[in-house]
Amino acid sequence: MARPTRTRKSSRPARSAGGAVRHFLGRLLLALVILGGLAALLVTTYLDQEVRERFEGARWSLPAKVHGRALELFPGRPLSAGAFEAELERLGYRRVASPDAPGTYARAGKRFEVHRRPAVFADGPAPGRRFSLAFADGRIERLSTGQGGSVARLEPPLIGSFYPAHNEDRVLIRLEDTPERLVETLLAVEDRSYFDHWGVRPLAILRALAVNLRAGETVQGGSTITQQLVKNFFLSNERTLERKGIELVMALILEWRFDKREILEAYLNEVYLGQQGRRAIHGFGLAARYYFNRPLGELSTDQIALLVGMVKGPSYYNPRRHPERARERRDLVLDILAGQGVISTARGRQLKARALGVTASPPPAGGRYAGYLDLVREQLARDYSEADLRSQGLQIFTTLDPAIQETAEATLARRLDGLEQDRGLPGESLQGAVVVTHAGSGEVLAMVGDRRAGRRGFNRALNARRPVGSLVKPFIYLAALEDDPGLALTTPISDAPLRLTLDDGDVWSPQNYDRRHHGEVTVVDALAHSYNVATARLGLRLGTGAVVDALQRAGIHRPLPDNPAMLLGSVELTPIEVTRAYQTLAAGGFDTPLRSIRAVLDADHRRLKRYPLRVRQAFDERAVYLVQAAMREVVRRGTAERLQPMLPRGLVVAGKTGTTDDLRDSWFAGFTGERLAVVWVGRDDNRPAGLTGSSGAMRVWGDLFARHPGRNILPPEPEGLAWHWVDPATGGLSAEDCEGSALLPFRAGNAPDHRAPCRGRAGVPAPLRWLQDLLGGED
Amino acid sequence: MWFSTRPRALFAMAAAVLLLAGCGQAPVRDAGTAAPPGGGVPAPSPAADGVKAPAAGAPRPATPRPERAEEPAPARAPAHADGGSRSGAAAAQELIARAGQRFSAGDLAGAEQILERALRIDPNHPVLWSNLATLRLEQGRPAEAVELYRKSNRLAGAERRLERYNWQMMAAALDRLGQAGAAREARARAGSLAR
Repeated sequence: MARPTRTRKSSRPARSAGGAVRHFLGRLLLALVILGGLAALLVTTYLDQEVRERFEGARWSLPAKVHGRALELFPGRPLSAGAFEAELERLGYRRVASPDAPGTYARAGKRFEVHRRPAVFADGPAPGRRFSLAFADGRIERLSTGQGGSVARLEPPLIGSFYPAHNEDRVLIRLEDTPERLVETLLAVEDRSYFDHWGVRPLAILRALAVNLRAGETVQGGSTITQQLVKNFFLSNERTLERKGIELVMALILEWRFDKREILEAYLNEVYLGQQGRRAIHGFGLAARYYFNRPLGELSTDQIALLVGMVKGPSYYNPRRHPERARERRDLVLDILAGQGVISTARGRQLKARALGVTASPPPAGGRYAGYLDLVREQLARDYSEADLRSQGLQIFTTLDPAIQETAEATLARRLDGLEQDRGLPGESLQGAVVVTHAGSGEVLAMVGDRRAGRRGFNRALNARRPVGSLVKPFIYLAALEDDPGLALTTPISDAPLRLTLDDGDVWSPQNYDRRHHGEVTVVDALAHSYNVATARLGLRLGTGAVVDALQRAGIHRPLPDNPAMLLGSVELTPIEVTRAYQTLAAGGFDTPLRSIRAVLDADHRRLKRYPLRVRQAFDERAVYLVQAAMREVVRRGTAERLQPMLPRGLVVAGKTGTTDDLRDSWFAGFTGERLAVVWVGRDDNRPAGLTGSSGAMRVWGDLFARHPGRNILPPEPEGLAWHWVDPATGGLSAEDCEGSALLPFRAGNAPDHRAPCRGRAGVPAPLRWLQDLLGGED
Repeated sequence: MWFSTRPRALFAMAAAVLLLAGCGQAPVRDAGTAAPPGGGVPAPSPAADGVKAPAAGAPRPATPRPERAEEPAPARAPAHADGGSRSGAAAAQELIARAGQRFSAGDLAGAEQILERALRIDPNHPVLWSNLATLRLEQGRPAEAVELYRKSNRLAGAERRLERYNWQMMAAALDRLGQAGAAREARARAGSLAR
């Protein structure tokens, strides 16, 4: 601030000493007054500009909010009553006797009545709605929407946010949507004459000053809502007299320039109400979610009292850390409300008897499902700058299924713990990754990139490049079946020792996992039992270039090595890349890019960007269907046969195990008609994990699908195929009741032309079956 | 431009919707997870000749279970374990109709969102994919439309009329792409299905 100094000397001749001094002092005083006035004017103008600049237009950088998928409800959908209620709880719905208010539901046994909130979906806002549904046998048995419809949905759950660089997080609310009770309570406690004063209350300030002087420290504020807003919004946290002065001036300016209601709305959004690590909880809208997992409009009076009470000291009165203090403070606020006649004394007593109602723990800062959010961020980065993501209040609608995500996280963690214990491996030595997608659309339902799902950092699902081992095999068979229309699943190939002299003179001689050779084997058996030598022979006959081409058509875009070793899976891919390739298989040969984002809306719910579904036929449909059939044999009686007992009976699964040299990587990729999942298990330091595909990754896969089998949708059958019972070992025609026979599809004219001897008739005693299982080959 | 007018596209969409409503015997795809005995299992063939002619459009279970062989043989392979109706089919149908309304109102993006919603519910619904293709065509993206019609045909099973319609539309889209030869081929395919 400008301070007058003795820089200006009088140019006039001096008069008498006394007169001169008086004259000088007089002039000085005048100068001081003028300068002081000028300075005050300057400061005021400056502050006025400051206030207007910050207060007009966008007041806050708003975090982008990320939502999961909306749970679709329709008769026949596999969903248990428990899982449905878990979703309601995730969304913060309250169980009541009669669901008259949005955000509530009633439950009687397996019947629910739900009052859905008005909500914003990927396709825009939708009004609140009531519907009832009944569950039976793990499915939705009946759904009644009252409008004759047969489909309804719950709102998409909030799963995270990308908040601004200064770490302020908030959920913006408008005054007209703010509960009247909140405004009443806030004003009763913080500023009773808010609608009458000009921004400051001189008497209150004097009173506070007196109290503070007596106490020798600042104990009382006497601040109005306006002053508090100024303090939070414009000023730093220091407490000096000068700052207090600026605060007063700014409060007056704010009141002069803006409407009371506008200032109040800003206050409601600005007020600081908690801290989670580096994330600052601002405004009542976010606080309601943070402490109660509910929208502000659904808070009860006692909950509002708790939040208003916390304004005084959010960390001192933190209800999670200091519940007694918070309770005392809340009760005091309730007393004030009763004292002012906002509520009756009896009601006050009732409310004071209530528990705090705060959720045990807030969702982790930034969101749960860190692994999935990495994927979302990566996809968003193609269209949005980091700055926009953190400031424009974008509403991002993803394809995440929280129930599957949570199961994937939990099963990976539990399985790896179990594997380490069973095998005497050091704790936390194994790592893993899981990707789950919707088979038809390529939407990513879940992604885990670390066995400790909450940990941020290296996301193995996205970034761990590992040799894929036998996961490459289905693409060799696909390329071969496509290339040669005469090739059938029963065509014999030789598994006899193979030696190939490479260009550099080295000899390449692939080995089977069991170190044995199996002579002549059928195509289907070579894949089902993952015979390396037979597969290598098939791949060499076809040419490795064709296999590279097939992988690229399936959606792998990185350059791939074109050498014999790639036939046995030396090619290194990340789990998400493997998922992309298997997605093409699961979708019947249609290349279907993976998507984690359905739509992006702006803060006003206008559609900014759509991520439309695209497909491209990449393979002959019949060849794909044959490979799918062979992959079902992998699960039925091949390297993944131990998967079956883990799954619901009759669930049709096509899959492939993958194991790499010295058991470093354990892979499993498998799909039903509804979902595809790829699992990798291994070690970060790339040392042997001691696990095959079926003893590691496949277990995680099995745990996941045991919990979420989904619908048993069968792959649609292309035309021009015929089914035959065959003996898969010899490739001859067989019959359904012959031991070991398999029903396989054939292209027209490709059916076996010879008959296999029928080995025994059906009804093989169970122990024999068991023995056979025991001897079943590994990868 | 053969396809520049909305009414024609509208008609196409409506036709596709009606098509499915008309052919009640939609190809079945849902075997049901909790399969009651007999569900999804083809009829046992008394003749042990190893050859079974599949019913048109009926999918095969991968795992025939001998212990279920004594179940009474259904006349046609039952598609379903959950009582004959593909779960989600009605819901998808309702959403297709809703998408049709948005489409008529000119809200293509809205129609698309709803179709995709339906697709999550019933991913193998051939009409759904056909409508999505028509939508792309209307959005001026014929190349994408061609692929989506292909996908619809892949799922059409025994729905000859739908398949024929898809080939016709594909031909139109290929025309737009300037691929006269491919368009002619597609028309020929459509023609062969007419008989």
